[in-house]
Order: sequence, then C-alpha cells, then structure tokens
Amino acid sequence: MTGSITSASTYTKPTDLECDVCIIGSGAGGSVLAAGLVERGLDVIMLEAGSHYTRKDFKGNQAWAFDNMYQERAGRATEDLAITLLQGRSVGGSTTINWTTCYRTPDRIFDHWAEHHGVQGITPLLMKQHFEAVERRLNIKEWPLENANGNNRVLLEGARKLGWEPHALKRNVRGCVNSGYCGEGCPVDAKQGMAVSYLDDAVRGGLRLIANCEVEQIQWTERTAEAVIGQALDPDNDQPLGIPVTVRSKVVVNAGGAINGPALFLRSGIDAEGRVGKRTFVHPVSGVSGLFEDTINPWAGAPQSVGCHHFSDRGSDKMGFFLEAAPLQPMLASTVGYLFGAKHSEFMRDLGNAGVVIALGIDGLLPQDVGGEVVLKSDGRVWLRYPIEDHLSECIHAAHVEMARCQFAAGAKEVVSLHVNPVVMRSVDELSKLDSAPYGAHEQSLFSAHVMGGCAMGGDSGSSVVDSELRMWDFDNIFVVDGSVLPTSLGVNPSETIYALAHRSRDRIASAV
Amino acid sequence: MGTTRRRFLKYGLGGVVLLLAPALGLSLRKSVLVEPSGPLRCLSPRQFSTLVALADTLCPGGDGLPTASDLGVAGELDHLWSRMHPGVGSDLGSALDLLENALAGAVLDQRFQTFTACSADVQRSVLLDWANSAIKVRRAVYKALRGFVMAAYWGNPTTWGPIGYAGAPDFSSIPSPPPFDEFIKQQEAVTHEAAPPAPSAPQDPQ
Repeated sequence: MTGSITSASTYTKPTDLECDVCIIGSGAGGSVLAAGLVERGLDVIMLEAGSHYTRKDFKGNQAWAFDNMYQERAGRATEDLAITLLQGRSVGGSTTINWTTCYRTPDRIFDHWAEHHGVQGITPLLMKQHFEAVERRLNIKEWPLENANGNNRVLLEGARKLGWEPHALKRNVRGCVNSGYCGEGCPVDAKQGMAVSYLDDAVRGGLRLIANCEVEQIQWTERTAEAVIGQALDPDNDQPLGIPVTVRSKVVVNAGGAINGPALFLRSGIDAEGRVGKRTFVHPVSGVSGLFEDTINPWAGAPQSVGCHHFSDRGSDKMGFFLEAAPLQPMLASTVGYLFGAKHSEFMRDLGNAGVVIALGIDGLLPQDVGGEVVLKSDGRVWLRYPIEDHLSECIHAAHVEMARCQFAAGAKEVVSLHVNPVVMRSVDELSKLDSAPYGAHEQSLFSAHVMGGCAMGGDSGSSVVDSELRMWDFDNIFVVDGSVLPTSLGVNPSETIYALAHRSRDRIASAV
Repeated sequence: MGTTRRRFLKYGLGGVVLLLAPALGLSLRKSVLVEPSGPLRCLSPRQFSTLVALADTLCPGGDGLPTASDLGVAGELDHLWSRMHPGVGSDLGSALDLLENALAGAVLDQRFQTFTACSADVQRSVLLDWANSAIKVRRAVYKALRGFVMAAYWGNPTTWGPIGYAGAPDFSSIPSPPPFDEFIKQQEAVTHEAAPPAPSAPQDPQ
C-alpha cells in the first residue's frame, strides 16, 4: 500500500481521520518510527507543521532557507534572547537543514543516565544493533579528512599540534559533492535526511503524511489520549486557515522536538506534575574567529568534518565542552558578534580568511545544572527560559581560551572573540586578555542547534516524564520519540542518538496498538 | 513656617508641571519620516522610519557595498515580521518606538531628539550605548534588532561580491543518488567482487 504526502492547506472543510498511530512531527524521531510501524503493518498518520520541500527548492540560499525551513524563520531564541536557537521546521524536521554530523551516544552518557536517572535497558551493548541499523540506512560513514574544508582544517591542525587528538566525523551522506549547503537543504539529495530516507520508506509503505498541519492540542481522559487536534496552516505565511484537522488513533506519539513537543503537552494540560518542559539542554555554543593569511572560505565544503573531545570531561565540578567548526555563509556570519558599521563591514570583508572554531558546552551532567524550561506565554508563543549560570560562564571562558589557543596553533595571525567589545589577540601570549572579559548573557554571541530534554526519560514516575520505553508515565497510549526524552545533553551531536532511540522504540509502540 | 498641605500641593504641582512640560515636549518631538515603497504590513510609519535609520546606521555601505536603504532592508523586515507570530512584530515595534522616543533618549542616552532626527554620529553613539548598556533588556533589544537587520542585509546577494562570496552554483544537473535498495545492491556487488576468494572446503583426508 502506498501512502501520501499532502498539505492540509488543500483541505476545504474540517477533516476527521482515524488510524492506529498518530505521529506529531516528521523529524529524526518520528520518521524512523513511522518507517518501522508501517513495516509492521500499522496504519500511521503523521502531522507536520512545516511545508514539504524537495531538492528542486534547495538553491543554497540561506535567506530562503531561514525563512522557510527554520523555526520562527530562524528568529527563535531563549526568552532573554541571549541564545539563538536554530531548529528545523519542514518535512524532515531539523534533519533537512542540519550539518550531517553523526555520533553514537558516548558510553559515559549511557552510564550516567543509568546511574543518575534510572534509565533501564539503554546500554552501549543493547543499543549497538539500533546504531548499526540506522547507520546502514543513512549511510553514516566517516568523512575522509582529506576532504575537510579550510575551516575544519584549522581545527584539525591546531588540535593536532596541541596533542588534543582531533578525529574525523561521520556524516549521513551518499554522493555528497562537498558543496557546503547542508544547512539550506541538500541541493543534490546527498544528505540522507529523513525526507529522502526513512520518510520515503514510510510513505511507500503506507504512511499518510500531512504537512502544514500544526497540532494545537491532545485531547485526553484519565490515562488515554482520545484525539489529536490540529489546524491547517497557510504555507505562505504560517497563519491558521480556520480548518480543523482531527485525528483519532489508538496511540499518539509526540515527536515535535524539544521545544514544540513539551509546549504541546503544556497546551493540552499534560504537565507530569510540573516536569514537562523542565531539564531542557542546548549544548550552548560559543565561538572565536581566527584570521589567517591563507584563504579559508568558511562557507565552502562539508560544514563539519573534524571534532575534538579533549575537553569533554573536565572533572566532576566543571562543565565540559567539545570543539567543532561552523560553516559561515555571509548571512549567518553577519549575525554573530555585536559589531556594526565600518568595523562590521571590515569583519565581513575578511570572512574569506576567517576560520571559526566553536565550543559546545555539555550541559545537564553537573548536579546543579538543571538546564532550561519551556514555558507558554499568554499570547500563545513558546519560550525557552535558559539562565546562564556561573558554571556555564566558567565553561564559556575556558572554551574561549582553548579555542583561541587552537587557532594560534593552526597559524592564525589574529584571533577575535565575539564579545560586545571583542577581545583582539595577536599571539598566544595574549590569551590572558580573555580572563578579564565577561561571559554572562548578552556579553558574547551564543547559539544552539541542539535542543534536548523537556520530557526526560527515567526510572521512576516521580522524577521523569517518560519511562525507558518512551511511554509517558501518566498515560497508556502516549509516547514521546524525539530529542526531548534525553535526560541530559549528550556531548555529541544528537541526531544519531534520536534515530537509534526511535529505532529501538518501534516494537514497543507497535505492541501498544 | 512649616510646609502646609496647600503649599506642598501648590509648589509640588508646580514642580511636576515644570518637569512634565519638557518631558511632554521631548516625547512629542517629531520623527523624520521615510516613505515606504509599498504598504506597510506590520510596522507603523514611525516605526518603519526608525528601522530605516537603524538599518542604515548598522549597514552604512561604502567601498562597493550598498546602504541598507538601497536594499530595502526595512521593508523586507516589515514583510518578514508580518509572517511571524503577531507578538514578534508587536515587540519589535515597541522596541523601535523606545529607540525613537526623545524622552527615553534623554533619560537613557543623553540625546534630546528622536533617533531619526539625530545625526549619523549620534545615531552610532546611541547604538553603542544600547549594545553596552548595563540594562540587560537594552542589550537584548539591540542584539535582536541588529541580528534581523544584518541577516536581511547580508542575505541579499548584492552584498556578496564585495566580500568575495560567489553564492551557490547551479546544482540542477547533478543527479540524485540511486534509491537505497539499488545502492545496497551496488554496494554488495562491489563488496562481493572485492572480497578475497572464499577459503576452500577442508580436504577430505580420504
């Protein structure tokens, strides 16, 4: 049986549908699950708020991509606007616009979840088959270091010289032409995002995928979800068209991502005694820019191909971080930092010789680090409240020093921080200048493309939202299958962990129908 | 002679009038309005004009780069914000009102004109004050407005040439990879061909 991809914007009247499983969200979690469920003969409907785009729409244009395929048109940020949050919003979710970096979950994270959060049955050994399965389907393989672009070579060479053991990253691509436009939707379908892989499998197996349908509420009684209530959106402006879409299913899966997913529960009056939306983590990203004699062209080539985990574990009382590179097309590059006018134009003119190393803080592992909280505003907007606490400021400071050290080791003639008042260093002897710089909110540019948590899994109903099988403790037929179930951040890019957890959940969810 | 209630009210009210009069005057200072090229969808004419002045201060052009006005950045943002949650346009409009207001400017930035009426030097100085403000909300507003303006300006291909960015090539002639099933078959065939010959079965000792 072949399924379909339709847009709710084509509906002309209220629409009622029935199925075995209704999946909300078409990203990494929902898509892998959908393929597994239709393979098991189940009737599955998937609702996606964003539009469906294909390679013919992808021209490597960041302005178009931000406008059409990112949450809040790439304007999403934490409540105090201190951290910019880049998340996908189209069929395939963030996998359509991510930078393709894939890691298995580190063993120490699985151990931490078991020891501190009571997670059961999720171990390196038991997850191995799921990692192998998604790696095969998505062709997740190491990207040869000889293909690394100038930006990643900065990290590679700097970290090697410092003895930090950088490594080649794995990517989910087939036939990649090393263009560097992963973040704008792959223009050659090489990236094995969900839209061209698991969703394609699922639709060929019978999935009914409805795009431009935003879910407003889950209706429920006692321990049972009764219906999913959505509304059709106008794809041109994302405004409601006044046409309700109701799906009645035996099982409901919230796979809406780690901000919109918890927000849906909160709108539905499902809060797990105040735990929904709590413990949200973001791998807060800071960066420094190095200026090189050689051409870097940080916009060209695979965005990420080198990683370094030398600072992942900084002891039990400090937040660790890991290092990667970031692609810098002019639009995204222009938004970092605080400069304007002639100084900013100068920064942009030097962009072709700039190499940017980024540090991603590993939040949620320290006992005092409870991360952020998803909250609903009275006007319907969703915010992530994420305070920048002392342990994070210390981490950002330490990361700045090591990133700058790496840039100089790689040959930078000047390294500049992205502070309101940039710290300019011309040799490694000037790293101490960073010690007097501030590291709080709105002191320097902070980003995140990895929102995790908010519906944490755990070993008991008093401290988590879902059990280790991803079922909500308070419901018999609601599951959560996306990055929101992670009890902490991962210390690696999260997509493969979500793919594998979704793959693991297929039998359990199928058995709940 | 002690202060009677009547004297307090008389002089107190006089003081308030003395303070309010200039405050009222400042708050009524006129904006320098800029005519939008089309109907506004989200911003008021005053907010739009403030955004034009802000964008030209952030992105003044020169050395081959256009000004923000040349690219219609303010109009583009008015369109963008009209397609986001109504609260976004409302919040950003309020931020622009605050930036423009001469009374707020006098209190916060020691300038006594609306932002649109200030000289380019003063406008730069005002934005530096916002970026470095001890009031976190002002820094947040600066960051948000700056981010939108920069993205609209540098997202425009007209700005790319002067900084050496050529934009994306045309990928339309590059074929998509084969379907997964076909790909796996190809892989298995390659693996099979490349594999060393299977060891021969053990010889029967007989």
